[in-house]
Formats: sequence, structure tokens, C-alpha cells
Amino acid sequence: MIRAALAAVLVAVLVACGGGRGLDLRGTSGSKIAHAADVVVPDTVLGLAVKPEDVTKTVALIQRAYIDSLVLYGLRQDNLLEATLQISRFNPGTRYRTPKFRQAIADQLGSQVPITATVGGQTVYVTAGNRQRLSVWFKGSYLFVLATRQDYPMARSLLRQLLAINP
Amino acid sequence: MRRLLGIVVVGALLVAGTTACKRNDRSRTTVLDALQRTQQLSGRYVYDDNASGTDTVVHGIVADDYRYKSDVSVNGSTKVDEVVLDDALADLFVDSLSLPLLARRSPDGTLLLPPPDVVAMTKSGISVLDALESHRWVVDATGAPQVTGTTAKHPIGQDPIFDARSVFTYAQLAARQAITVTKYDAESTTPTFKPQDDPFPKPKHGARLTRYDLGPPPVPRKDSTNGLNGGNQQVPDVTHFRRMVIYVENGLVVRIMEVVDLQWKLNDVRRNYSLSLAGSPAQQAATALAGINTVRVGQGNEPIRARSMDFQFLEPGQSQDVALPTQAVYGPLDVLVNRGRTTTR
Repeated sequence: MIRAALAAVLVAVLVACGGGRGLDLRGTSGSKIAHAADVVVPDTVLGLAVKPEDVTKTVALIQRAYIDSLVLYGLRQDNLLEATLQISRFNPGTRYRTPKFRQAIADQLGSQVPITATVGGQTVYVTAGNRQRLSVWFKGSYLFVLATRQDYPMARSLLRQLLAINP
Repeated sequence: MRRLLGIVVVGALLVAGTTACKRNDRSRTTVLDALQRTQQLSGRYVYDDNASGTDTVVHGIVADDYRYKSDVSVNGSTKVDEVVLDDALADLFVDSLSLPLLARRSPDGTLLLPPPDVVAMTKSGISVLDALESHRWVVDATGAPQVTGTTAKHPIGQDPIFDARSVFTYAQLAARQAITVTKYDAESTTPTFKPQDDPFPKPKHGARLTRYDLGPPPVPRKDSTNGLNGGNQQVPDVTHFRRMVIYVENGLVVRIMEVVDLQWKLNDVRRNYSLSLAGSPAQQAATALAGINTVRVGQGNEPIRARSMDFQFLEPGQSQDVALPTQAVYGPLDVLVNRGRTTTR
């Protein structure tokens, strides 16, 4: 269950990054994607423990991706996984600043057309996945993907807290 | 020589047509960009919906899409105050008769009870309904409504706060559906709306305010099919009877006005459907609209809602404070449409 939830978000992003509509392929192979955490995240958010997850095997299967660094955090209440936060860094030269590129990334996540929301001055693409809610935002060369369980009651408050993370 | 003249004239018409199309596309892009830009800003708004003799006004303050407050008045008297702060929702009904304004209803208009899996009791030991009916703030810590949605899921008029909050999305859809989007020109020989059909304020000459007019598609004929309806007759929808104008100043939308009625298209309806109608133009329009709506509902579509709407956006980009009420009881607000965890998740 936990593994499936993690993999669903991860694969979606990597596939999007690897070969989306209208996106150039200038990929980094999965084995070369770094798992270094060069973004400081808090140990706990809204009472949820934040810990990095081991996704090296999943990432290694990817042939080409737009990212050269990826860390996936699990956010747990006791042992229950309530959310994951994926922080990825785009390859240099990727057109990550253009709205078209960002929209293309957001469009390929989740199963619905994303809604664009402004939260705390930040544009957030909101969509839904397999019993998950997905919030996607961009900061500089970094992509953030927050996946919360559909029944997690504090999804917006959690998002607002995590929006404060700066690369 | 005559043939050459004909070619020149046709060529000139084609060039004129192409130029007009480019202007139309440019105006549409300008409007869509302005709507998107403005939608992202904090500010205040006034949304006024007038339908079937009921005037509903929503005054709103928006810090961002997850933090806003609204008060709703109907025919001049305040009915509801609402605050949304991230996951939390707070509602206060100013008078006990106003609860149906946001109450969940069945398709036939009957008020619905809260979903059975919701314990509709506040922590103070009184029911949510009692608290709301006794004019107390009720806070649902996780009951905030969705950000925006489509009119297919949330028909216009069902939830005035939702309508007001979604007005930019609504106008974006209207701008895409319009057959033309043109900058208002007082001296135009081919205005989008004839003077007698144009109730909207005109920008003063030389003003920085620009008005864009959204031209509706022609009313379908009785033998029209659009391939979207299983090959059935194409029934008119709101796009065919909408008059909408969008005012833009300094790249931001400051006002959106809409009138949906059938009277200004009465001749087209009579001609296209070979109708002979009796009574005043208003009575004829009402009769024709009732007939169209009967067919629409029979086909499973929402009826066309005749209305006038005026939305004004104020203080764009200025920071706004939104806070939950301090004196409140806590309980689930699933009794309200689009609100509460079981109705929004």
C-alpha cells in the first residue's frame, strides 16, 4: 500500500519528465540521478514525521528524465503514511521557467486536468491521482510534488507549511 | 475589367476578413491573459446576481485561493457570513430563514439531511443545525469547499459564494466559447451588440479602461446537430443568449458584466424554430425559454438560467487579512452544499 502510493507519484513525474508532449528529451538516466538532499526540510510538519524514502531502485529503471536530483520524503503519523513530498531538480538547460513547460508537467500528473490555485503568493497546480490529491509547484530549478491521501483532512494546511521550504 | 474588379473586391474583403480575425484573436488572448493574471491576485470583490426577481450580492475578501471571506445578502439584507482558512470553514447565518440559501438540496429542491456518516453535533453538544439556526458561527476544521469547479458540477445560482469565487474561470470559458471577442468601439459600424441590445456602461473617450465584448454564436436552427448530442437536435444553451463584457485596465480585469436572456434573440428563435408566440416580447421570451429548458432538462442538461451579473474586482494585489471567528462552536458543515468533508472530498 505504502509502496504503491510512493511509486505512483514517482513514476508519474519521471515519465512526465522523460518524454512529455512537446518536451525535449535531454535526459539524465535514472542511475545518474542523485538522491542528495540539498533542500532543507523540517523533521516534522503538522505533527507528521518527515523522513526520506529509498527509491533508488525505482529511479534506476528510468532511461531519461529531465531531472538530475530527486528526493522523496514520506510524511507519517505514527506508521501511517499520510503524504509524500518529492523534491526534484531540473537539469540545467531545461525550460523549467516557462509556463508552458510547467503546465505540461502538471498536465501529466494525476488523472484530472489540474486547477491552478494561488496559495501564499505561489502558483500551485492541484490535481488528483489514485485516491490521492496532488499539489505541484515550482521554485527556481526545483519541482515540488506533494501527494496526500484523499482522506487526509489537513491537506491545505500541510501544503501551506511546505510552501515555505526554499531551495 | 469587370472580372478584375471583382477579384480586387474579393481580395479586399478577404484581407479585411483576415485582419478582423487577427484582431479578434488578439482581443481574445488579451482578455484571457488579463483574466488569468487577475485571478491570481488578492483583493476585494462585489458580485451581484439578479435572477427571477432575486438580487443576490456577495462581498468578498480574497487573500488567496485557500483564504477568503464572503458575506451574502439577498434583496438587500445580509444572510450569510463565511470564512475559509485553508482546510477550515466557518459559517454564520444571520437569520434563520437564510439557511436554505446554502443548504444541500435534492434535484427537486427538497432540503437534504446531512450524509448519514456525519455526526451533525457540535462539540458543545448542540446540533450543527441548531447552532446555525440560532445565528452562531460554526467552524468545521476540515470542511473547506473546493477551489473552483465547472458549472456542470456546480450549476450557477446554487451556491452564490462558489459562483463569485469561480467568476474568472466562468469568464474564461465564456471568452473561449464566444464567436468573437472585440474591443468596444463607440464608432464601430458593426458593433457586437446593437445599441438597443447594449445595456453595459461605455468607457469614456480616452479612458485607460477598455471594454471587450463577447459575441455569442448564432442560435442553432431546428435541424442543427453538433455531433455532441448523439446526433440529436442541437438545443440552444447559455452561450447563445449570453451578452458578456469584460473591462480591462492596466492589464487587469476590473469588471465583468453578463446578461443572459432570450428577449434580444427572440427574432432568431422565432425564425429558426418556426415559432409563433403570443404576448409581449418579455412574455414571448419567457415562453420560448421555458420550452427550450424543457427540452434541455429532458436531455439531462441544466436549464438556461436567465440572469444579469455584475462582478467588480477592487484593490487588486493589496494584501488582505482573513481569520476565523473567535467565538464559535465546532462541528461538521456537511449540511451545506459543496461544503464539509463528505461533500467535497
